[in-house]
Amino acid sequence: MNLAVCVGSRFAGAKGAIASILGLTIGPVLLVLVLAVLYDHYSYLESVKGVLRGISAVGVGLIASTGLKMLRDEFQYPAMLLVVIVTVLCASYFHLGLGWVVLIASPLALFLAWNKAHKV
Amino acid sequence: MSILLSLFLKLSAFSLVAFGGVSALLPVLLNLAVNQEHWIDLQTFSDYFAIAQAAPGPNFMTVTLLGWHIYGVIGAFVATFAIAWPSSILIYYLQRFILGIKDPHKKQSIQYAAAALAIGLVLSSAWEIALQINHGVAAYALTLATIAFTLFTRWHPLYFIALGAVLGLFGFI
Repeated sequence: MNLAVCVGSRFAGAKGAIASILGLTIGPVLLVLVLAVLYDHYSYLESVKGVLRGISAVGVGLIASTGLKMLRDEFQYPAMLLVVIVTVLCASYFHLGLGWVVLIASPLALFLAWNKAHKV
Repeated sequence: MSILLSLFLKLSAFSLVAFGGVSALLPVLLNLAVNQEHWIDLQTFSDYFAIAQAAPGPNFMTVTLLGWHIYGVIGAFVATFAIAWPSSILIYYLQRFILGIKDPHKKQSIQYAAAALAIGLVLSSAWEIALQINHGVAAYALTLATIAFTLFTRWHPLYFIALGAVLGLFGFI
């Protein structure tokens, strides 16, 4: 999505950004609506419930591994891992709102990033 | 009509903070939709999350389905538009701002800092969503296996989704 905005706007400014968002979105939205109708009709079936439970367990894993793959790059400057830890603690352990998480973690993030940019 | 307006406004506000991608903020979305607004119950939210994961396309499809649940086709389009427009405008200007920075170190710093924050948010998002939608040891085992295999193999995610679907179909999860 963000990539669509960036690429679209590089080629054709704001219009390009809008065009690439629409192009990327409309097909999947229509498809997912078809799935929604099917869900409305068949979600009472035990087998459908099971399938969705299985897929959502995999889906969580996929999100986690997106994060972990990005995390691998951070090991070239391990101090940045501190930012990740602080963010996770703020969000998941102290259950702070997103605004607070960003407010607390970003000064540290910018400070360490500044050092990283001068070293790496 | 008022629920449609509230859907639009709440999701637009959510989109403003979610410019790092919806998956980093799924717990926030869950909290908004299930606990605060009572648009949907937790089970339906997890089911929609599963459908959105299995379907091709951008990762905000959970939001599209949420809109569908509340107000049919119109709701789906309103929700999709609401989740897309603020973050798109923000990214558009953010990109121009970052491209406009002359000092390469400054530019690098901002990118490194944003990346580290995004990683933290994505990881805690996965953690919290897992706590909400995984029931039982088998579900966690499947989640962990997915993580391990996606990190150490190059298999396409769709294989894992298909595997999850089959395991679920036979009642293992």
